[in-house]
Amino acid sequence: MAKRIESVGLSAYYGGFRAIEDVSVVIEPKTITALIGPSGCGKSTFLRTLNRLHEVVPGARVTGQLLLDDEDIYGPGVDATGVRRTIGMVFQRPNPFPTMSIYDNVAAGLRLNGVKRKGVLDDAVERSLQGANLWKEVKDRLTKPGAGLSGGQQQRLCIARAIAVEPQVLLMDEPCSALDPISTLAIEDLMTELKDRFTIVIVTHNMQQAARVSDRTGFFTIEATGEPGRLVEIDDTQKIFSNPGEKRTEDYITGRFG
Amino acid sequence: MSLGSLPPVTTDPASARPGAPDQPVPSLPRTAGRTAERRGDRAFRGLSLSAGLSLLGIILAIAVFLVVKAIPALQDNTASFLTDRVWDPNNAQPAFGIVALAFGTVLSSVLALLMALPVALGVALFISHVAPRRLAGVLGYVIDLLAAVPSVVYGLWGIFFLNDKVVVASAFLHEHAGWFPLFGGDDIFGRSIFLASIVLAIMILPIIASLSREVFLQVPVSQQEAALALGATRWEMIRTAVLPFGKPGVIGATMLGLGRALGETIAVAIVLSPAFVVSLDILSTNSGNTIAANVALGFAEASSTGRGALIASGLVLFAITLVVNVIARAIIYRRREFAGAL
Amino acid sequence: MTSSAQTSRASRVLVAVSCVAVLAACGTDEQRPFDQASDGQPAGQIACADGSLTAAGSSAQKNAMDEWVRAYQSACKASTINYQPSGSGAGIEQFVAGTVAFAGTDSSLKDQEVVGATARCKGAPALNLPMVIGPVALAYNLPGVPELVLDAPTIAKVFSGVVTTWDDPAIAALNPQAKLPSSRIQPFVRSDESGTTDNLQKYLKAAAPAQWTFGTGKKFAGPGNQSAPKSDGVTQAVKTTPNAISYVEVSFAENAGLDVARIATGASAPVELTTESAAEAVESATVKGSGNDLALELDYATKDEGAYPIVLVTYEIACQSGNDPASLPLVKSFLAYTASEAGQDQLEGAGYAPLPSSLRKKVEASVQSLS
Ligand SMILES: Nc1ncnc2c1ncn2[C@@H]1O[C@H](COP(=O)(O)OP(=O)(O)OP(=O)(O)O)[C@@H](O)[C@H]1O
Ligand SMILES: [Mg+2]
Repeated sequence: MAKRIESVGLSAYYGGFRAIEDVSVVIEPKTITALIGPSGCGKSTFLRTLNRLHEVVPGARVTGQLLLDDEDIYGPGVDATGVRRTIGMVFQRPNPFPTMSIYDNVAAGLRLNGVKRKGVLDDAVERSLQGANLWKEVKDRLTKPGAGLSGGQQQRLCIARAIAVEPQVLLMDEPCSALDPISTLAIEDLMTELKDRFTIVIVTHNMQQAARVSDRTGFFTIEATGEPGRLVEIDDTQKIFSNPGEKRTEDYITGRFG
Repeated sequence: MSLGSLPPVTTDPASARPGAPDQPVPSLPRTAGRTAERRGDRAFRGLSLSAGLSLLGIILAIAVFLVVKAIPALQDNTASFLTDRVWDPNNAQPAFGIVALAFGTVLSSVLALLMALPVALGVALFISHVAPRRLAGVLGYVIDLLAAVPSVVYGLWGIFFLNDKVVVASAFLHEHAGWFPLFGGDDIFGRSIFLASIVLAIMILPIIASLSREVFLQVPVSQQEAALALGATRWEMIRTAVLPFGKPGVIGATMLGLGRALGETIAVAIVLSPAFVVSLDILSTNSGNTIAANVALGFAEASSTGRGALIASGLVLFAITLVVNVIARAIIYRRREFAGAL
Repeated sequence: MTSSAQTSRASRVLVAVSCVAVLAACGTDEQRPFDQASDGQPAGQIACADGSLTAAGSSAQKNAMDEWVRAYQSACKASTINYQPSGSGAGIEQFVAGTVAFAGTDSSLKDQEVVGATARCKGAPALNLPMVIGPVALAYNLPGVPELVLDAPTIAKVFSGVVTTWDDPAIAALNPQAKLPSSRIQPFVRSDESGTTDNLQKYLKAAAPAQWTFGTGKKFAGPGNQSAPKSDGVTQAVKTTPNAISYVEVSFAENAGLDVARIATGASAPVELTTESAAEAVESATVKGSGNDLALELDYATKDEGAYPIVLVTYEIACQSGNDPASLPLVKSFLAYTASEAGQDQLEGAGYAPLPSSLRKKVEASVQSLS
């Protein structure tokens, strides 16, 4: 199920502006990889190249290769929507569909895939909500609007929505930045559970979080404004936080930078 | 300045909660700040309240005016205002009934809406979500321009250009789909309710399209990306994220368009050959009339009873518009929990 | 801001373009006549009076009044005259209410209107002064048939759906020479309320009582016709619809280049519509008013030689006495001008026929008697 990701010389542009340059990295299946780095260094941009969401921004484009189990998802003839169906994404700010009920939010992806049978949908909705640790809180109000939940609940609803379609990779862009410590912990626990089934890539500004949940950590940085962001190093989380290979990484982690 | 240490007294009322501990507040400046704020608040409240009330007052005044002017004519009426299909209020024996006019008004507007709405939504979506930015800009400008064209222009265009074509199309429809209730009838010489509906549709299309486009552009990027990240195609994204979010706005735009269609005077007066009948044969010449067009055609030469009769018909139009708006409100209200705006 | 300003500018341009293109619906100030425009020529000698006055009423008089007001004001710089074409009924109401100095109307005062008018004139009679004669043409669009003769019964049948094809025996009998097609007649009437319609229906009722049983009035009463708004609308409809026929003021038919039918009245030959033949019909009318009141009884069924029967005579209504002294000089001066030979000639350009001279002199005398 879970897939391996490998980027080869990947650069991403917004029109004429190069946001990240020459990123080459390997992400193993069923691991959690954390991406850290100062604001504006291109972490979100890199994450969004992984499911081809980068290109929906007008004028944006990507060069280089991105292999998903040896298939280049930027190769000719590859359908972006197909890629996105296998790679789920959770955004920084919870974004449930405001016009849909809790149930419909979770079922949205399945419905897009043509699943119509109520039994199948019911099962998947329950399974996903349980997977996102939200089932107990919402099982009696599934027909209520998703926007009526608390921020933390909404974020878990978005996770449920993302995992309902059984993706092979789960991308999370600062999923806890808008949440309280308890919700944050709940989501961190959830990630550890989900790791058995998915390859997870998470962007975070929270060093402790990166240290707590991830197996590997990549450090991005930017030399100066206007310069593209680069991947400085990626290694086992243990190593990055105890004995990073680069001085810049150490400075950042110990708070002497950014 | 001792105020420097104070928490900001503006915005959040919770932060100024009384009884909150450890706030050594010098009372004088704070009170001063608060009353100043209060005064501004009160002025604003007074202003908006009086604006709202004066609007209600205007509506009420219009309604009272219409009723007062209509009553004498209604008393002189020798026909039944609500059921008869005649309009001869300038006669020594005034006789006028609203039913044919009301029917024609609603029929032509509903047909116009049915024709305009799908196209308008398509245009709006094309501009907001499909067209390349340059083209979208040009198209948006053109649509706004069309929405500002006065209706007499549409009327003249309808009669000079469109009438012939609609006659040909009508004859075709009648021949091949005559079984369809709307396509029966004879005397297909143009100037029909069908033509009026098409002209109305073309008139309201830019209004609906322009407003809908605005609404569609308001859909947060985050929701569109949520749909795309689930693997939605562009059309699926529009269906899951854009259309539901825009629905209340589209309903509003539709009602505005419908309102314009219901109340359109001159364009309909120019293109229609009016008749006081209740008929579904929209292709036929003399297939109906509308309230607003009848006012335009009859007002100049009306006697005082005739004017009263026209005003009474205006009152009915007022009521129809009101009903339409109430229905729209009800639709929006029923789904209010799921309203798009967060 | 800018964009909305541009938008409205653009739409103004559109309106202007459309007015040029159709000379319709944007007001008919620019109606220019068959003979010759009399642009700005202050016709004849005008005995000017100063001040300002407001009048209102018949929209059929609008073009005539526009011509007169323009000519009068350009000769008499110190005068301002404002004629509001609000319709005959509204004009009389305003006259009765005392808000206008005189009213224009398509038909002489009715009995129920006389009471109020007399009250306004402080007990003196309100005078009907025939001033503007508007002949109504039967204009048609029938390629290959440049000459057509109709009579009242046939017209009545055409506009009530009894005669439906051009080669109907009723039409053929009047036009033995013409090659009449078998196509269906497309009769057009006015969809708005109009004195022109009233005039036609009065004519049909008088001259073809057996065929025209639908009554009179400003709203067309006959069944089964197509309709279009205003004179421009019906003119355009006839022009663009083969086999169409309608009735319009003669200037519209002339301007649009439409063929106009001659009317068989029972005179020795069918009567063509000319200013002379229209004046002839008015000549043969009897004055039913008494004293200075010149209300006419038009004989629509006239068989007089060379009298064209379908003419609209419109009046100005003014008080015999009891006029507002402030505006009286200007009212008298202006109406004296409109009733003068020069004033009447001024109209010929605008599609009206001049008053026959005997009647015109009576009108002049009546105007002089106002006090
Ligand atoms: N839609 C866009 N159009 C143009 N430039 C963009 C766009 N989104 C991001 N950028 C630019 O790309 C660069 C990288 O942005 P990105 O959002 O990837 O940074 P980030 O590392 O996620 O920052 P943060 O930690 O603040 O979220 C920045 O310079 C940013 O200004
Ligand atoms: Mg980011």
